[in-house]
Amino acid sequence: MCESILKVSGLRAKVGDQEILKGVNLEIKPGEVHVIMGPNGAGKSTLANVLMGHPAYEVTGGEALFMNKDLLAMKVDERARAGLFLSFQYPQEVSGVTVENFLRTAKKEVSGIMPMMGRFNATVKAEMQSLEMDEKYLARYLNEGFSGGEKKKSEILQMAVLAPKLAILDETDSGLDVDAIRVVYEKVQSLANANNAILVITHYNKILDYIKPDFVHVLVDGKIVKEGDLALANAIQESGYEAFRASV
Amino acid sequence: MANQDQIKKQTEKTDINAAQSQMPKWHRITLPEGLFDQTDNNVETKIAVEGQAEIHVKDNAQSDETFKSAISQNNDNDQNNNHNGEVAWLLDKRLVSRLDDSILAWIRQHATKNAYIHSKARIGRDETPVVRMTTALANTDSQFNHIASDTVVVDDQCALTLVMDYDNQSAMRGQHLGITRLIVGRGAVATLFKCQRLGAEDAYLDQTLIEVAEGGEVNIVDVQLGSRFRGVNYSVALSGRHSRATLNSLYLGCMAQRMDLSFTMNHIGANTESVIESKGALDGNAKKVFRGNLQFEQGAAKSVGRERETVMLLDERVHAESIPALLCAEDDVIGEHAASIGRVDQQKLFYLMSRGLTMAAAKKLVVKAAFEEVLAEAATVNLRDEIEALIDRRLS
Repeated sequence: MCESILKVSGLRAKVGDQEILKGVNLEIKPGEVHVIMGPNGAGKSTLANVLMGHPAYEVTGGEALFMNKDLLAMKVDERARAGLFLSFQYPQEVSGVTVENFLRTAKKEVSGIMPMMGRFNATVKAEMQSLEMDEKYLARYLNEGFSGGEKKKSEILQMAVLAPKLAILDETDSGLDVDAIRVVYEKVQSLANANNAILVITHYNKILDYIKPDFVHVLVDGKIVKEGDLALANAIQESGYEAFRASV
Repeated sequence: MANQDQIKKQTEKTDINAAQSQMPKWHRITLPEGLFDQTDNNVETKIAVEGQAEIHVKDNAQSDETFKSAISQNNDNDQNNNHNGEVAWLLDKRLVSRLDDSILAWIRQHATKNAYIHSKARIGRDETPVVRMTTALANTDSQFNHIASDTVVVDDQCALTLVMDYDNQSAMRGQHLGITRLIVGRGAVATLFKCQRLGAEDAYLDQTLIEVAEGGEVNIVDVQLGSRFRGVNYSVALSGRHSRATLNSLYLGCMAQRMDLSFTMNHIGANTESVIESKGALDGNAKKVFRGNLQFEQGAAKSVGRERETVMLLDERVHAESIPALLCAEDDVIGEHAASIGRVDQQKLFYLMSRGLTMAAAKKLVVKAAFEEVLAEAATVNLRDEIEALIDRRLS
């Protein structure tokens, strides 16, 4: 087994002329749950998108190793097949493709094998049940007309089915009501095991009632300015991000 | 001697000029060279009929006679006009032509085997006849050259489904130049499905002129997948009261394809209805111009015309132009236009790729999903698999 799933060092990235990531260092090992917190505009979503390979962002420096391979040299779909997953802040609506069909297609692409229909459907339905999602969503077009909460559940359903090495959750809590936050993050926590890792991006710490991070990072102005454990998240709850801004 | 040479050269020059002036021109797309050089009509159109429909394949003159008698039965009001003996020409003039007149004249001149299709299958009494015209070229050494001027008549209270499929699977370049005239009688229902899947370097110039009588209905599906050059024009005259027309256009533009799609609904009778729905995807550095014309003539009171265009841009280099026009000579009408030309749908492709789909697979998925409605229609005329296979091939 490789020592770390993800090792990011000195990562810089810009969109247009604006530099957003200004040297991010981050190491994630198997079995770990990391949380990145930070104020609006700090670069949290940019980090998630850059790691997944969004074409709008240009990497201007640093490196990222995923399972000891050069992540930045890989295409988006290659990253997915290598075991990287991103739960989108704003999942796209794809008309004409049902959830069921899409899950099977994605599973085939990521695992290289077309899943067996019967067994696969049973697995998917069990995952939906634990997410308190109605089975009827399987027959609906992917995310089309879904509420904010249903879209996020659909993301976590995909995560559960694809079983990635590293799942990045970009503000999955936004747009969720209290009950849905509980259901979604309990599910996420249950998907964590000794061989995979989870990186949760958020700007508030309500989710920490349901998910237990091993590490908490504070991202301000494109850099990780502070690292710690749950106590750090609690400190942010108390006094906000102002103290960290001053230290930039 | 020098003088003679000069004279000879001058004569040659004049001949070339004369030849050029007779060559059809089209100002919208720079047409490929040699398009009008080949006048041999060397591809047979296979016609298969299910149900009862009369089919004649005749030369120009005979076709006109048959056509004339058919149209005179259908269009009593136009008896006077029929006396000029050039009914086809008349119809071509009366319906707004978007191809250049010289192109129409050239096609009429060189189309040697014209099909004449006549449905007398009564709605409610007979099965709707299905006529399939397949113009396909498989392995051959000769160039695919198809020039067609076809006429279709659906009698009052009758129905017809017509499928026109153009396919070039040979390695040779090909071209199709065609005119289709469709007369839909009173209370008649006509379905026209045109599918163009020629080769990547081929040319396709096609004009369809349709007239719909009182209470008649025409439903058109036009699928454009092949050809490097496409000039497509539909002109529908909703002449009778309560006549209706729907036009579903679907296209995929890849590589350096150029296309000009022109759809005209001319509301002449009162209470007429039309819908133009165009859906397309552009990839590579394809260029497309969409022209949707809704015309309301005086007397077309309480008529409704709607057009909607959706274009997916799959590459930053594509070029999409949209020219909707609303021409009203009557107050009491409704005309609506809606267009959505997305920017490159980068977010959607990124989302799908983040789930392991390659760029090509992601494009295929969004394109086929967006085309689902028309693909379902294609299934009813047994063309769905062919169309999907070609979309897959083009987007690979």
